[in-house]
Amino acid sequence: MYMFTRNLTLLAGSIAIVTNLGAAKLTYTPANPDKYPYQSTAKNKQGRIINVDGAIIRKNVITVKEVYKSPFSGKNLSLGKKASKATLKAWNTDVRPDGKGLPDGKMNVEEGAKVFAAKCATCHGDFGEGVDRFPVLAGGIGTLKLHPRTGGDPGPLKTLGSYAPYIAPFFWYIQTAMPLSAPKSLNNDEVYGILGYLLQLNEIQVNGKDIEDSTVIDRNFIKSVHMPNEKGFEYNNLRKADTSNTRCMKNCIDTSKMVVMHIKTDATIVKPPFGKERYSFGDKNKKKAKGNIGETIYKNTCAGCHNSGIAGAPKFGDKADWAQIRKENLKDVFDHAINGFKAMPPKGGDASLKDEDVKSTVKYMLEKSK
Amino acid sequence: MEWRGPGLNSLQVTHGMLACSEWTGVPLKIILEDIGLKPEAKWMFPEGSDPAGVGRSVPIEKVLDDAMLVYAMNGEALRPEQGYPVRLFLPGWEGAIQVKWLKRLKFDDKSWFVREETTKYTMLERDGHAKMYNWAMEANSVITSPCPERNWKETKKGVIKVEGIAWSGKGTITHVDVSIDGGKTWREAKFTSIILPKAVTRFAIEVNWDGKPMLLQSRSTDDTGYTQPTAKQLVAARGKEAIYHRNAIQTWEVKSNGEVNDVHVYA
Repeated sequence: MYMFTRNLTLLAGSIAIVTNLGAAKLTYTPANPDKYPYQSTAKNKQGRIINVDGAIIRKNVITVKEVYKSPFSGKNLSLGKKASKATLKAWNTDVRPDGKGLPDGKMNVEEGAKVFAAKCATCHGDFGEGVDRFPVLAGGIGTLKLHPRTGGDPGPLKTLGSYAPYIAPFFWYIQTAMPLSAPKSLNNDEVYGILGYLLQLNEIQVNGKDIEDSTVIDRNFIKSVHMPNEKGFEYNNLRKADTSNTRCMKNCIDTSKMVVMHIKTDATIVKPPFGKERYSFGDKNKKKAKGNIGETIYKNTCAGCHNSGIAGAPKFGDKADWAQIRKENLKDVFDHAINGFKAMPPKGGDASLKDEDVKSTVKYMLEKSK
Repeated sequence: MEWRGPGLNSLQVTHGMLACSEWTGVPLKIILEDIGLKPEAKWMFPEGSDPAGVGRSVPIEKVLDDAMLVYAMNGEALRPEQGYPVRLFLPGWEGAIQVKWLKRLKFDDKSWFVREETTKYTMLERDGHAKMYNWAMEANSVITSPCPERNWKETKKGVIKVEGIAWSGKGTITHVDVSIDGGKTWREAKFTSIILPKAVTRFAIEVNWDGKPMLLQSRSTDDTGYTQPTAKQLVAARGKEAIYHRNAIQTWEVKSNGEVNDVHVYA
């Protein structure tokens, strides 16, 4: 397969210019990471050669080769400083579709599922189903051709499993950007484990085999994965326009066939209006604050962990768990809730909450766990 | 935005995700001339130092054409939210690729297919395949007066100045035409600002409003010969799941009481 062979000799030398891909419908050419897609010039209507990105036509467009042989090159102006080996090691973390950049490390899927439950499930759900509006990571395979005609019809479900063409770049993404509350905190083994669990959730087969709990995920395993939507992408066609309107000035349309679509539901009517101070988390608590504020905040902010008791959180309603808490000084318990304690983030992750309201929530949780 | 039909009765929301600033910095070409670049370097990977470490694949032609490392915006140092101390600037391209808080640039022979250029910022089409690496913003325009936020309820009937902005990430705007009948007849507007490539250009035209309802549209053309498409043409080409890069002709419905609404016109 093209995707896991890297042949530098093919690419070395002059710039390979591939003509624009995939013009006709349904006969597109899948994006191939080995092929260089970029087309830098085109002819405009007057027949002049232009840069596809702009009308600034430079006579001496510098090519890669010329830059390499540029008179400035190698003059060593000694600006800045050379990156040390340690810096390179710490920063050079990107991973390509062919697996270049994948580090050492391994974890089996069962362990990966535990890491996922502790570090990812609060937002993405235990099975990658997505909590509230956080991204859904599993399912949706085969839905990309669905198109809703009305609001009620299901549309395409774009998840890691159904939409992503390659899994390897997600090693870099997860390790760099996730989890939301503590990015760059996962070690190599944990990321391999999480990737394995996500592949298993999406029922991805590797070399014709299902991914078992005991399957060990490492560099070579990730390199052998083929995602269902691997051939689902074509390179950008915006470089070559996909519409061809003309500057018609008179009798351009048949007004008897004109359809004017009005707004059914105005999505811009929001409260508070745009421009007013808004709270992304605090708002929903305030709206429902008429009842027991502790109960409202618990459901919105704390239940994610305390309902199931993940990551060492005392389980809501569990008498034994909370009997331990009751033994502590209440001031310390409040302090832990407000300022954070072990895996518990300050104020359960919602910095907009008032100290008093957090205390009410703790009291509510103690009350309900007697 | 609004691929499935009108739903946002606000200029700020339909066209507000646009910015045009004066940037100060160094063309990447000059930096690369100094440090040298191997022939197999076909792609650049800029990575940000923000918590998400945003990174994207940038083809080397763009890097050597007009890409810049910028440290100032509109004459002052970059503000933290704009990418202090240094960010990448790729004129005319989509906002999400203009990496802020730049940490490093890596060059390689192939692109990275990162999340932000595969599962996000791609155009899913009707047949289930998606277009990726959609970078340049195509010719676009919108009338800013009147608009839902700036209607004609308090405006006297008669000759009224209609104003707007036009832009193209691929070149220089050459014409802007305005229609008051939903696209049947068009008149060319005048430019009222300097005209620069890959920058916002202002236009204006006088319209004689007798109080009858109007369907007000603007349509721009750039010097690649490209004319802004109608909503129908764009949906025919891309379906309704493309999410971004919607540059269809915008229609404002002006009612006889001066109220202005966002509508879509298909003909």
